[in-house]
Amino acid sequence: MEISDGELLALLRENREDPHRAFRLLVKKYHRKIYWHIRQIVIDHEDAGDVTQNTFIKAWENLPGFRGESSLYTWLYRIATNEALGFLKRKNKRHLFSIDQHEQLLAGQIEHDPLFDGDEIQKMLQQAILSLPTKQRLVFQMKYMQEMKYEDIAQILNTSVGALKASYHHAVKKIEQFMEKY
Amino acid sequence: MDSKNNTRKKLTDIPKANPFRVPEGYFDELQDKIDKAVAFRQVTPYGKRGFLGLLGPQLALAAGFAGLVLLGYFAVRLILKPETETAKNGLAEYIEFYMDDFDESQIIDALGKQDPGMPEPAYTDDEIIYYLVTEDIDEITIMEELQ
Repeated sequence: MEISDGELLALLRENREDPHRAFRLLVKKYHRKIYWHIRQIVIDHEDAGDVTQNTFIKAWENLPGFRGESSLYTWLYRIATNEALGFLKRKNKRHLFSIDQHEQLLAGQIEHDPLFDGDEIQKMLQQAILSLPTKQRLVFQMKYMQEMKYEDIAQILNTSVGALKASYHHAVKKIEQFMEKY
Repeated sequence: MDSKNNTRKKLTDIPKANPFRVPEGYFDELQDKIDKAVAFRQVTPYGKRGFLGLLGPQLALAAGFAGLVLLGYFAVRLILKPETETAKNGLAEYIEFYMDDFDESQIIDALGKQDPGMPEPAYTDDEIIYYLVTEDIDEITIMEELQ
């Protein structure tokens, strides 16, 4: 049976002698989910692995400051999202890519990625998702692909449920238009 | 059916299965990597904290503020005090060392020459004394003239 977030937090706080042991349980529970969330944002497998590792290091360092105002799950996803977006920003800056060039690069990566198993229609969907503005893309990925609740996404992206619903609506519309064209 | 509904149908027709994959055994490897990276970190949550962590946030803030004030004080001292002290000490030593070599009149002459506001005298001292004697001007007349 999977350990609950409450139990994990209690273990982390009580187990002061060996906090690493409790943290390993947290990594065990979340590393796959966090990796997939990050992979959908950065696309590249190697990059996703590095960003996942940095996410857990950051979580470890910031754990004493976690007051439990949000759930452990949304707190981790928030760190992961910020790390992934920060990573893309730095990458674009380093290679002097514009937003359009970056979209093309990610779309090209999907085209030639040996670790992409989707068929033509899935490839097209991924390219449609990549053509969205960052916020709409995140909302669509979390709502449609990962089937998260609006309330959780709102906590992760630090926005209101109403704004998220509008973003999701626009994202779906744009994806439909993109798929109509091809 | 309109085209929007057809496209909608297309979107929902696409299986939500994850089209990406990872190499075999990757997640075990990733978990090990994360565990090692975290274990390597010296700062541990709730357990061993750094010096400021042990002090507590308020004390750390106070200590930081006191440190800043001290730093500022020493910086000001470094910038201002050594200069004025050495300047004063230097002048005192100079006067003491050279006092025997000069008399008052030499100093007054030197200062008179240095002061650009002081006018050059029109008459020499001898000429003034000669004038006062020949014209028979007494002290009382001089005092009256000066007042």
